[in-house]
Amino acid sequence: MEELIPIIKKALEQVDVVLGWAQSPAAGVAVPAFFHTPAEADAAVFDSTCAHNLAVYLPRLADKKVGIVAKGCDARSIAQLIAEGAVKRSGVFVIGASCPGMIDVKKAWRCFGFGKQVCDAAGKVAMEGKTVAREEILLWKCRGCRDPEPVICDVTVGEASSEAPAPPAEPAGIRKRFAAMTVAERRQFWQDQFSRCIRCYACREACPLCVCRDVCTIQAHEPGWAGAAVDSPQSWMAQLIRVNHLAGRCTGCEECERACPVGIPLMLLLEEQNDVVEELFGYRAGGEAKPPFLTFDIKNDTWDEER
Amino acid sequence: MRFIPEENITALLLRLSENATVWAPQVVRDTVNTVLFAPWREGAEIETGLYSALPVKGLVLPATERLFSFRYHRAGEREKIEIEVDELRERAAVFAARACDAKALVTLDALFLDGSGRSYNDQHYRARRGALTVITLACTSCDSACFCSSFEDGAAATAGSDLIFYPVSGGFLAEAVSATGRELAALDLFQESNLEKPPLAETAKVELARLGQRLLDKFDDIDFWRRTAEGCLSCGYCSYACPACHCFNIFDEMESDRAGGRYRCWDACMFYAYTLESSGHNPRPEAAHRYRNRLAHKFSYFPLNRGEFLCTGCGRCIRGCPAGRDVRDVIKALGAG
Amino acid sequence: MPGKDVKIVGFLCNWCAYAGADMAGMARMEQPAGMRIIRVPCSGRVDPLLVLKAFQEGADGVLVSGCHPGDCHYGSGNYLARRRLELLGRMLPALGIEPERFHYTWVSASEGARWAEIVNTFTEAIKDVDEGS
Repeated sequence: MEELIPIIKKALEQVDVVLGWAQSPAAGVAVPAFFHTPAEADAAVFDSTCAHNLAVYLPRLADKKVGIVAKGCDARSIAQLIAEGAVKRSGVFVIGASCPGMIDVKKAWRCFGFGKQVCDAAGKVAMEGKTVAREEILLWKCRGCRDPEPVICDVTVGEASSEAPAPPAEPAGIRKRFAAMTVAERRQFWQDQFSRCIRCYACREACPLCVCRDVCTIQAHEPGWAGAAVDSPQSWMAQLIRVNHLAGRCTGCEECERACPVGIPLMLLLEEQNDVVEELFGYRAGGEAKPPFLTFDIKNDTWDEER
Repeated sequence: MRFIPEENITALLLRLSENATVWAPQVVRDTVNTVLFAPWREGAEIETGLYSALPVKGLVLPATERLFSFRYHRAGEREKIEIEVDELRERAAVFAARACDAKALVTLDALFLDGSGRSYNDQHYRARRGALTVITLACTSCDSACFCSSFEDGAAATAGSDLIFYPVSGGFLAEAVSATGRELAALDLFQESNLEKPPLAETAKVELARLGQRLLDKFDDIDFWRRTAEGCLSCGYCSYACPACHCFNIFDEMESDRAGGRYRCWDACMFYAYTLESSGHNPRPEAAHRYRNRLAHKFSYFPLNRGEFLCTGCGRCIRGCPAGRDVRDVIKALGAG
Repeated sequence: MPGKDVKIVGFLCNWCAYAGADMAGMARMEQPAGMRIIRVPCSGRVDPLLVLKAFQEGADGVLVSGCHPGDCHYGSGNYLARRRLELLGRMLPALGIEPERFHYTWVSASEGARWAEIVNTFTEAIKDVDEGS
């Protein structure tokens, strides 16, 4: 996406830094990059490997004026951060990028090994002559994407795609298996999954809405919500704390699951919670409205006790 | 040299399983590409192409280790504490470790098993290390995150292994490094062979000359470190995935009113809480300070104190970084040696 | 396990349900033995994580009880609780906890008999789940 570079350069006239992506020669994919000067911005890219949600950096840069290249889903996280007051609207300049759907680079790495170039110069997925159906390697969240265009932005880049987003996929693999499990089987399932958690907290650090970070209650010794021992029950409790604190706040960007180095399917929990929140409160995080657990007004309560 | 035909590998692993848990790299069910060392059972597929997300250090320094149990009891007028040390009873063997992982075990040995009295001799580590057999599979190929060739013998490192397998046509050449390795290689599953060792992987090289000093020269340039660390999310994956990182914290957990256990758990210097003092002061408040420390420990303090890098070039911190950071970029940015 | 006491943790509001349970006890109404009551200042104090922590520590069931809607001693604590606990309850199947093991309800200080009935019904439901699995 050639036209991105001049837009970033222009943005740099009014902001301190622009968050975007640059190609990593080692990884063969785009990685987050911070552009401070127009010269640095020459390295900017936008292709199907820009899965990272750069909104994660905004609360850490709250004292700066920041430009950010945002996909539709990233913009929802930015909107959520603004709605919650973690980021000021005037402090961000959003460069809305039209998103073609991001691919799961782990799938490419599984087939071709880490570090093989995944996208060609035109930003199209191309892996060593082998063709892989694009739909097969799309990230789960990109299937049935509800927001290909950013909800907030100051300038847009790229043509809005004329193609409809890939339709929601039939739950496959782990999702299919999970849906069919009994409650007792799920209890065992989570115990198995969390037995490999190492508590690196990449899920938390990669989450744009996990704004407490350094002072996260999971790592507090008092009151000790989760024990320090890295075993399945304690790690499970640690994750439940995170999930619970994201109730009505998670925008479903899937970063926790992407960041998890041991492949725990965290989105099974968050997707479920997001669905329940939408059903109960008619609320989907990432719009202009404040989250339901932040805004309860007793005078306008419409709760149906019999529901 | 000894040779083991490919079809004998299962028999070898079964033989090892008779008195040890055999750990081999396997793709975790339902994950895209997560490979972990997991207990091997007959029929399980061993993954040697992809890199494991975690090194083998967990077998000697587990993410959590119960050091001992304690129980309060009343003896006459006084409260006493009874302590029971948890003993390790199981032997372990690791199959298809990589040379970079095995080599790091020697670094850990120097820290946890120092017979010279300079460092300490940890009974739990000693028990696990003594009960561990390491069979390394030498790398004939690598990926772009590997940079072991930057360090001395690179992919040809033999330290830390008991037995090294070199893939050749029809099976593996086996080079015994320790007495345990020689015993294994003498088994009837192996035969004599005059095949040549295959050429090993040449991985990326980074300039390490004077690196310790180059780092110290930049130490006070906090803006440099802020720029360097600005994409870093400050999670603990790189530390936990590093075969040489060995920081831990110790916790007492009560399990009833009167009894509990003392645990040793991995800790990572990228966490804010790592250096948080009880006064509330934190000498490493920003990710930049922590990032600087992590690199300086690996490439400056540790080599200055002990004459070796706290890094073997396994590349896990590059491959698995959720923010796509590459430690080699920082080494380059520190300037030429 | 037939005959096994089910362990239930009850988070009870000081101003209503706790007094209701007290009343049931004084009237010597039959109540299950495995109930452990934790008095809280208001049902609004009950963080959903307290419920999950109780399950994690081995509770077979968790019961939260506060003042009837409109009667909160502090005005709105039970409304806040209701929203959080409803969400939690609906999440439980995905977490691998049978929804029958969790219940939130409203009991006033004068409803001793109602409390006894709620606890007994809840306990039976948990026993059914335990036997079924």
